[in-house]
Amino acid sequence: MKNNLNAVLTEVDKHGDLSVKDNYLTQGVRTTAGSRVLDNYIPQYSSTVVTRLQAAGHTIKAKVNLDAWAHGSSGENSAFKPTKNPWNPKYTPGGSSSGSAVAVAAGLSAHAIGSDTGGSIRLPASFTNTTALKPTYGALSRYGIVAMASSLDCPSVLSTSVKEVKKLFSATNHSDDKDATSHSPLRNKSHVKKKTHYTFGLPKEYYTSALDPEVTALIKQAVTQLTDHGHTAIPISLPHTKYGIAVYYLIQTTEVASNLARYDGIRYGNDRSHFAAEAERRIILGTFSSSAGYSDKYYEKAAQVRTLIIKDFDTAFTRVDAILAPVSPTPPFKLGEKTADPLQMYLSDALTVNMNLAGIPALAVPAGFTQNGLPVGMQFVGPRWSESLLFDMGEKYQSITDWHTRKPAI
Amino acid sequence: MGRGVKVVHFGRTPTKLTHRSGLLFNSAMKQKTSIKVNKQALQHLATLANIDVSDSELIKYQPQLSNIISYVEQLDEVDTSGLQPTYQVLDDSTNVTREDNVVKSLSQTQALSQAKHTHDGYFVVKGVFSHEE
Repeated sequence: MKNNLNAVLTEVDKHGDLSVKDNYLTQGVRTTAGSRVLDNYIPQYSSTVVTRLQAAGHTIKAKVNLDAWAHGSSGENSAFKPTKNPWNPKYTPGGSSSGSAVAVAAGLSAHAIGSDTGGSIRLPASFTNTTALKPTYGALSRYGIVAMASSLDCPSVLSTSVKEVKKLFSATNHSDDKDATSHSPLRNKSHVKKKTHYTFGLPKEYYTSALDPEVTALIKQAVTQLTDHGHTAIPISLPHTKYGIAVYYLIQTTEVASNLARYDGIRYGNDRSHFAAEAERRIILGTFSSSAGYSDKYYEKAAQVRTLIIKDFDTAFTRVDAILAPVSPTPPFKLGEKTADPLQMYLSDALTVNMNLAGIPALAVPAGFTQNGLPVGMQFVGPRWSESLLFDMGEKYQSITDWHTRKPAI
Repeated sequence: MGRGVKVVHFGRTPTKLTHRSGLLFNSAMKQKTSIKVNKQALQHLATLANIDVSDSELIKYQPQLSNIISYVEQLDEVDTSGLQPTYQVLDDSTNVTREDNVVKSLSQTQALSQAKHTHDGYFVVKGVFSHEE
């Protein structure tokens, strides 16, 4: 049954405890990024995050499935067939870190690593009842990870509880001379203080009528559990939220077009005729939005609205310790449901892309199940470098709830 | 195998997309109505990005990309006058430098190990100034 979920692309060590998204380079072990372009690529070196986890005592169990190049919200863009949701194999496990989340949810490995450029670790965590952190941009080294959108990419960690995620994060949260963006002057500065009781902001732009009613009910229940334990929740506003997807699909595709230009089939991998539809769409869109004559209207405009999205968060964090929001506007959706309409697929990330645009951390935790037994996740979102605070909030939440201990019947 | 080396067009000068070229839009750019990217424009963009897109793919992508471009044009309604753009989200970062010493790196054999075509320790690429294979 576990194999039927199609989470694993390459088995590495059956005694291992760590599933590695197949966009992390692993020395001597095939690394495909989910694409035919790299289906024969054996890296000559390993990514920094993998090396650090190995040094901390972890062993790779398997390289796991993903949307090709991490482009997608369902896993269905993988060149190696979609991964299925262990809670119901007719549904997607979310993407693009599909295999990472399913490996942990189905008990294939204790831990997993993935990447989050616009929600790619949080959505699969939310759809599979697992816990995951998208760290502050720059916290974890991007060295040796197949680059998608360089100003947004965050190597990310996933496991069965906040406690476990915290350990994975502390093993990997170090600067790296091979990634200049990991050298922040604010790293390791304890500018956030743990509290007994926190103030959470509920952005009205996230809790709209567009949310699935079951998601709304479950998140409200989670908020009530927190306020019943002495925390405070207040309404806030992040006025530019609705522009997130538009900004993201201009900036991200521009960076994708640039990053995917390196695949020429000369030094490694296959030639450019091996790109599939979603990568081609993004390359074309990114080439368009950054081309002479149009970049002012599209790419530059998006970069300016990105400034406004960041200001929204900055303002909110003067009033609240963290933001509480659903990860996804809907519960898991069915395989095939959104594949014909890329824009509908993109909108699955409406509640996650803004954190990547702002470079701020978000911790996704299980928040209950729909009537159909499908998982729903919630995210704690804090200012840059507030991970220790998010972990404290998440651990407090998981001490009063047991959703994260539920396992699918497989 | 059997496909041979895919030609990389190092020597090609990409054509710039300009307002006047009329390549991208069926309607004038300033119009508020949602724009459509035509097939010819998509083919041009694919050529600039060095990807081969078949006719049937172009037919599939054309409405999808038009739809996405119409969607992102909602940004037009945001007043961004005088606003700084954000290209990266780092804190007050400074340049990171190191001593210019030789450090451990891949050997030539390792670096070449994934290439399909090598010659005397070099990657083989298509000629840039001639068309010799």
